[in-house]
Amino acid sequence: MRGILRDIPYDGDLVLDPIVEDVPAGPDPVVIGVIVAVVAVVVVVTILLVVRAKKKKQGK
Amino acid sequence: MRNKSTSLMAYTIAHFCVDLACAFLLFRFFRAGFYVQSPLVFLMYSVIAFGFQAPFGALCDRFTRFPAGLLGCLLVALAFFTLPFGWFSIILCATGNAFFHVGGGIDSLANSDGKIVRSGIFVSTGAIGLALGGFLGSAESIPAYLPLVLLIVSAALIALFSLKTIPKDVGFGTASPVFVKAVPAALLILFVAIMIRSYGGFVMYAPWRTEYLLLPGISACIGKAAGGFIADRLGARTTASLSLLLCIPFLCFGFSSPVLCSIGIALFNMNMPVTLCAVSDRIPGQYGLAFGFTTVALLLGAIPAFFYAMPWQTGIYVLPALCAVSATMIFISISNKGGLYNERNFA
Repeated sequence: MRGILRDIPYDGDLVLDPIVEDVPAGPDPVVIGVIVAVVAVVVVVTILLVVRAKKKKQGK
Repeated sequence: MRNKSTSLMAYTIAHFCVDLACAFLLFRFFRAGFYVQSPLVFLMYSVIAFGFQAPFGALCDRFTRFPAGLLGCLLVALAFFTLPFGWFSIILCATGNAFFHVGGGIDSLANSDGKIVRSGIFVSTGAIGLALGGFLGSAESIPAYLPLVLLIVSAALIALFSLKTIPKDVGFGTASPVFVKAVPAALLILFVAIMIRSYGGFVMYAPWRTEYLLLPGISACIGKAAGGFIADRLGARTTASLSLLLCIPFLCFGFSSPVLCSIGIALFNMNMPVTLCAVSDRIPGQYGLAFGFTTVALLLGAIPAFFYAMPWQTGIYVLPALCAVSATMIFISISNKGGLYNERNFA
């Protein structure tokens, strides 16, 4: 649980209520890390493949 | 009977069916509360289906007889039989989707005779397939064997009608002789332009979407096909950059009207086949890799949307900026020259 900001209608003030609502846990950081790593690898591999293709073309 | 027209017909119908089947599987079996967290499933699916097309494409360019389209259909079909394994099913489905797109992309670029319209027609039907697949997948009354039947039909169409020989060095004449002549710079600019446009698609606000579920997909389909057709007549640069600028008033001031917003979505999607062919021009003869290059850009543009949902009030101001930047990048990196690939433009 964590505090969330709640809008109190009658005076318009924002107050911090520490226990009003359960906040669902976010995605597992390990899974996110794996996905980010896979994306990084995909981008690097794509760049290398394009560079290789260009070099191959120029070499002909 | 195998010729360029039947091959395009086979892949275009199969594109609709494969995207429908993938969306059906995701929306029917991997919604929140099922095996795994829904947003993560969609993210993982996108990373594989979009990100892996570049290496798969390079593989198909190396082994030109590799039946990527057919394999893609079969892998997606297999994903339906491996549903109890959760993540494995998703990986199979996304891998099949990636292979299918590479196969279809190669066919659409290599057999184009330098015409952008062929790519436009091929990519167009995926949008409707995704929209309809999501809709049917959410409707519990639709049996799960329906997408399987469509996948079998797709595999049969590709096996019967697709062309096996891949022509070399088909070009679209989009290299800019004025602004960005260096190939790496042009590729980088096109990559960023596609990325920005991809993110723009998530920022777009259409409050009527829940009421007219298929309309955005139909608009995108018409836009992509029309984009290729018009680009062959008016020129690639004019069509791609002008359509991105013209969509701004429709998407920012007409977002509440299904008709006006649909026109905006169609205009927004018109540059898709143009940027694909422009990338292919810079990596000549490597059609699979070129197709994969654009989908990696689409993926990078989509990833921020998984982590941050921009409020629509902000989005309607951000979208014009994204469209304008993307249009400028396309304007400086491609030309209106038509005709077949000219070796001198890529020196």
